[in-house]
Amino acid sequence: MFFGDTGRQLFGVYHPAATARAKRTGIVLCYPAPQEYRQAHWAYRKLAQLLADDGFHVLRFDYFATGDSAGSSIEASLAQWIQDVATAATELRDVAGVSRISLVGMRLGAAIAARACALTTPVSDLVLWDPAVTGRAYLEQLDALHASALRATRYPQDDSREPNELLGFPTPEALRAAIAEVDLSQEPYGSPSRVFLICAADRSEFQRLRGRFEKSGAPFDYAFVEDATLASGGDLRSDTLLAHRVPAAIGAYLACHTP
Amino acid sequence: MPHTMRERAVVFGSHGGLVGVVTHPNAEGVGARRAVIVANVGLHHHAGPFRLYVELARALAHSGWHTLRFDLSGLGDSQARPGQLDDAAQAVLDVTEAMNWLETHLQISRFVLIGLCSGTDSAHAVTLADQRVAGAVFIDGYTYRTLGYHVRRHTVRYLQGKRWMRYAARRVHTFASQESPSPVPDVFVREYPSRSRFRDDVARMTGRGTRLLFVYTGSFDCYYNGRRQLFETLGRAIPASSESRIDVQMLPGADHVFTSAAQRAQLLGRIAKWLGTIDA
Repeated sequence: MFFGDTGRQLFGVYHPAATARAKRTGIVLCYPAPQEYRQAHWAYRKLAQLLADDGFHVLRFDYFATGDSAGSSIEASLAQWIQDVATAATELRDVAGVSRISLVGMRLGAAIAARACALTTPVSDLVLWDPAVTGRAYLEQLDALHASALRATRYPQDDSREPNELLGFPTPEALRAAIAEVDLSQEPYGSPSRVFLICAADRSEFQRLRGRFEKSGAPFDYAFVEDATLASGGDLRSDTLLAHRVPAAIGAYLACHTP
Repeated sequence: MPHTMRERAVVFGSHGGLVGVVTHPNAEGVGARRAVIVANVGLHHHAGPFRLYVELARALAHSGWHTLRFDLSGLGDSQARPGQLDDAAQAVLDVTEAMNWLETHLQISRFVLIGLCSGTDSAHAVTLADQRVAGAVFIDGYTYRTLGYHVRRHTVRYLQGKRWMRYAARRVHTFASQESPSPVPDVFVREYPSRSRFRDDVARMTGRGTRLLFVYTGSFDCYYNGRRQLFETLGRAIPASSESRIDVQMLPGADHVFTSAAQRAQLLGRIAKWLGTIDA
């Protein structure tokens, strides 16, 4: 379905609750950035179906200028993506009649979800899946993968690539700068009922973020679940994130904590 | 900046599980009764690699084409199809049902199919079987090595300075970084129809007036390395009158999934220009 303002429409896939009695909380899934979108698509579809089977109404959607949504890739903007989460939450409330919204985000999608929670969207549960804790480290990882991908390309080398392209997508300087400012270990994340940090890789940045939430005293849970992950890099042009355990764990967590 | 594209999500197919997006022509093209259909390829869903199919659909809207991009059964956003059909037969049925949906809901009866890599399998089969297909674009589709291919490979290829420079740079990097050299992606390795079957199929398609555009990227140069290679493959199977219905475009600077925006723009430009010659 398409939703949102005319001319800036967003594409989403709505998964209605598959149980006789649906939960009153709907879940919006926040995709990672375009560079990791394809890899995450299968896992997001799986997660959405698991959640729907548990009685949640779920909406996964493409940010403006990504996927099927309106806008060309060059128009991508972090501020717009954060606003899009609010638009998606409103849409899910309208379509499903839910009164509360939880957000699940992976990698940069986790940072977008946290920003949305802080700025635009009242949130019940905030689930951060292998989050991009700092934008700088995230960009460094993508830059390294980009350089590696260019080296791996067999002849002929493409000489026409724009300098601001990152793994196949135009990445305007303003977008890079906005991503570079992300620091989940420092910035506000609103007042969700609970935060759930779930990681499939053992990385120091995740532990730093875990420490931040534990010190805050706010309701917080952490889980390490060994599974496929994009946090450790890999060939983003060919790998697909075949995650099974993390989606199951997120589903079990939300089902347990949500009336 | 407002975006005036008219697009709608659609769910169709006899199992009610195929998901896609229709892009309608802009104002000048209202009333057009022709459509381009492109199915997802591999694990790239219907937006296409790096949004290639989104850009394609929106570009073609300005030329009066409807475009349906959709996911084959069980892939992307589409549901698996119940039953015992193998993947190839299922893909053919999916594409046929896409045409049926457009015919029923938009009264469109002439189609152009676009297939990339393995997507050419269903595009080829449906083009062969269904008279509603006015044209087809096969991107990095079937290739057959010919005598000309081998001659070019062992002459022209070794006279290209850029190729040697790139080879040397990669060797130096591999040595310095201790990385393993990247193998040829096995995504390119798949079964093709026999050469004689391919000739017969193309002869039948073009014999009834169907237009064909074959596009080959630089990534495929280990299989296809000269514009005439297709015609070398077809030999005398195609009469001269039908040969004019076949176009070949070489994109030597592009990789298999059109990673850069410039590569995508180049491909879309070539396809749009070719579609302008289609009488559909």
